[in-house]
Amino acid sequence: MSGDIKARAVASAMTEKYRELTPAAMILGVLQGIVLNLAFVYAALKLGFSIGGSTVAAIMGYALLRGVMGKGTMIENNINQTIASGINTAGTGVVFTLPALFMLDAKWKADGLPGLEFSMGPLLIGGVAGAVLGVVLIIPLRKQMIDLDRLRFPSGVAVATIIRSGSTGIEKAKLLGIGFALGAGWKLLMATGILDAPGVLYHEELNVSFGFIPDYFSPVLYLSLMNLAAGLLAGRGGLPFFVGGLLAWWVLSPAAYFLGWTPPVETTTALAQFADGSISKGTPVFGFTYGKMIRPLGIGALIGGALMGVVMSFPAIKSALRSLATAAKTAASGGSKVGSDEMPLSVLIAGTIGAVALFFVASIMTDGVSLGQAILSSIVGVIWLFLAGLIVAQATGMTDISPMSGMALISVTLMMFLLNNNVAAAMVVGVAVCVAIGQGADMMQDLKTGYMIGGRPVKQQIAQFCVTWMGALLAAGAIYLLWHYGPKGTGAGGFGEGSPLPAPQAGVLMGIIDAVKSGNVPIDKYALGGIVGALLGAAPMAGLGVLIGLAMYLPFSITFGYGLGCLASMWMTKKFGGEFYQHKLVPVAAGLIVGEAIMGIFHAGFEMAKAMGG
Amino acid sequence: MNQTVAFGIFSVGIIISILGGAKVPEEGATWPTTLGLFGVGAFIAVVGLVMWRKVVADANANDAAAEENQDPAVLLANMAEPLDKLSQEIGDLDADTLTQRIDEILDTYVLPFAEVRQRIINKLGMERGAEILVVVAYGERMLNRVWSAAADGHLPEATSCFPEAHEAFTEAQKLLQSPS
Repeated sequence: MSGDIKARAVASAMTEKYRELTPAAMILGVLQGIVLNLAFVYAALKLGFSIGGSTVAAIMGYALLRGVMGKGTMIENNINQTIASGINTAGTGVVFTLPALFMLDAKWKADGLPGLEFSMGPLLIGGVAGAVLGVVLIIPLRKQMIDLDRLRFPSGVAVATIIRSGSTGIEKAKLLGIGFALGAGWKLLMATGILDAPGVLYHEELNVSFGFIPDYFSPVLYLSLMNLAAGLLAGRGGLPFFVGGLLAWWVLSPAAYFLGWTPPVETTTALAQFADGSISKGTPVFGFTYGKMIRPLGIGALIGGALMGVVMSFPAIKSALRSLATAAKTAASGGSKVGSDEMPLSVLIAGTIGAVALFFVASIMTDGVSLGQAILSSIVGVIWLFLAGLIVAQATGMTDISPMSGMALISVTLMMFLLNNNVAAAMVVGVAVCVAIGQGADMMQDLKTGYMIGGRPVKQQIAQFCVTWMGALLAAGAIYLLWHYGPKGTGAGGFGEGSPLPAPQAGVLMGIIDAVKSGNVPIDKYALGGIVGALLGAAPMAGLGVLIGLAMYLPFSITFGYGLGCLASMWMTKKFGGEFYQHKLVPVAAGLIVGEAIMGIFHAGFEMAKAMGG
Repeated sequence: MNQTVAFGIFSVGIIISILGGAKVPEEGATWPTTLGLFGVGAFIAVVGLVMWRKVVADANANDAAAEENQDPAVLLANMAEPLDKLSQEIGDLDADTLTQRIDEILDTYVLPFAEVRQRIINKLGMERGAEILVVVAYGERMLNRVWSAAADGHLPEATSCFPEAHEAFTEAQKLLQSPS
């Protein structure tokens, strides 16, 4: 099969210009970007972190451009994955921030307070402005970060490896398809509730007490193939996340119970007895331990870890500022050979002016924002957006970890102080900064991939510049849909605490905003958790504070499934080798994630249609 | 100092501090009664952290020293002959052979040059050094493009891009040899 494909490719290559920025690549990139954006918004609401879509896009690009059309090139596939990942990544910035507004509104109303008035319009405009600014502000630094500093950008290198893998692309695409079918089918089965049994299986959660494990060990497993697949992809690197969950529920929780730190309860064996409602309503021990101890400590650790991640990026900040200072000097370096490969400065200037104007419009449209405040937030917001994007791009290039959560927290808190605690207005800037950060880091990863396979940077820059606005709009739409029609748990909306989509990152942001506004917070847990998170964040293992904090924040049923995936991946890699991981495990796992997420979105859409029809 | 020991001390400290911070404060109090336990745990974690970071820093310093045994100017000069030879033969090569020849040049000269590029800047200053490095980077990107085009079976693109790569490395060598 691969020989036929190669023969067709050679035959067409001898008569055609070398394909690079083509309509096929752009259309495929947009279609994939839309699918990946929606899928990973769903995944991020569930897991608290997003997964890059470049790998999936590169595999599918090879299968469709080369396998089906018979004429795709590596450079063309790079354009496809540049567009797809650009649309996908913009969604990450939105999903880390926007859900907090919905959740805050519901919480304040539930507490008997006035709700949070906000309009989607300014948020959408802010997202688009952030997307454009993220791309245009990072492009002038390509030469410095990639040609001179030669930052590693590990994900960019990995995607280049996939693109170059040639004939194995078709086999990978088949495995991706199998994973997709399995993930979507399983999700459909779970969503219908056909297999539910009281006390045993409820809303995709399985009681794994085996009749004897007490409640304080939280013996519940979330039967999600997405969870498992995320662990499979992470492998050894995901172990800290699993360890955080074990620490919370197999060390801290039983210790708290036996030390008498929890209120006296009638029973700790509701799960072991498979009592009806024991999974859906939780148990008294679980409720106290999770709500008053583990979760707020996790929030503190997540904040401390995220902020320490920014501090640890100080070498990247220094390097980024040096990049800025020398970028002007190197702009003309290389003479005529190199100059024609960059987007013209006039386009960048026009894009920047347009995006700043959008930023201003978004701010002035927000209730309670005066003209002076709109100008202030536009200026400060753009300056901070540029600095944050620079720092994150540098950090991503050096470590492949982006301190996006820390930057989002700083952005929103800073703007709340500048805008008299106007949450909606602060969130406009928060959304814009997060989207810009994601776009800047993603653009750099893609340019690294392009460098390694010989793509011309200007073509990637044009491609991403054209489509960058889509991702923020798509993600906002998906979040709106899921809030109103998603799988409701104990909360008011389709995601948040108590629902199958806990939205942990937004939950932490919500906690901070609530703390700033109301002053009613478990300050001891946030502070002590923050110190622990900072210590973990300072460890020579990137992202440790955020991972452990996230694991403590999320229900153990989710981290348990993820951990099983990590262990399975480590075992399979040891038994069958690294090649097995790259060529078999990665495409299947990616397919599982996309399949479940897409089915989850469809299910929400189905519920919406039912509600509207009824 | 062993990394496992340092990591172990750090982990013990983290576990103790999490335990100390977990207890809910009593009615009317802001902090839990186990604050002292938290402090002990945090101290142990800091000790472990300092030891761990030192072990890792020492290991990284050893790795860096091992790379500093190549002269970038010599690598650039030595690249001229294989580039000239390939320039003469490229029209007669099939795609597989061409990709292998490009891989050899990249692995033998270009990638090792990139590893020690800082020496160029140290020797010639940021501005002049950056000019040379940008040209070399362009040449490397063009070699990568030749490889991709050949692997895609598009030999016309591969043969038309190779002179760009050749010119870039030739220019870089001239810039390196010219007086400041």
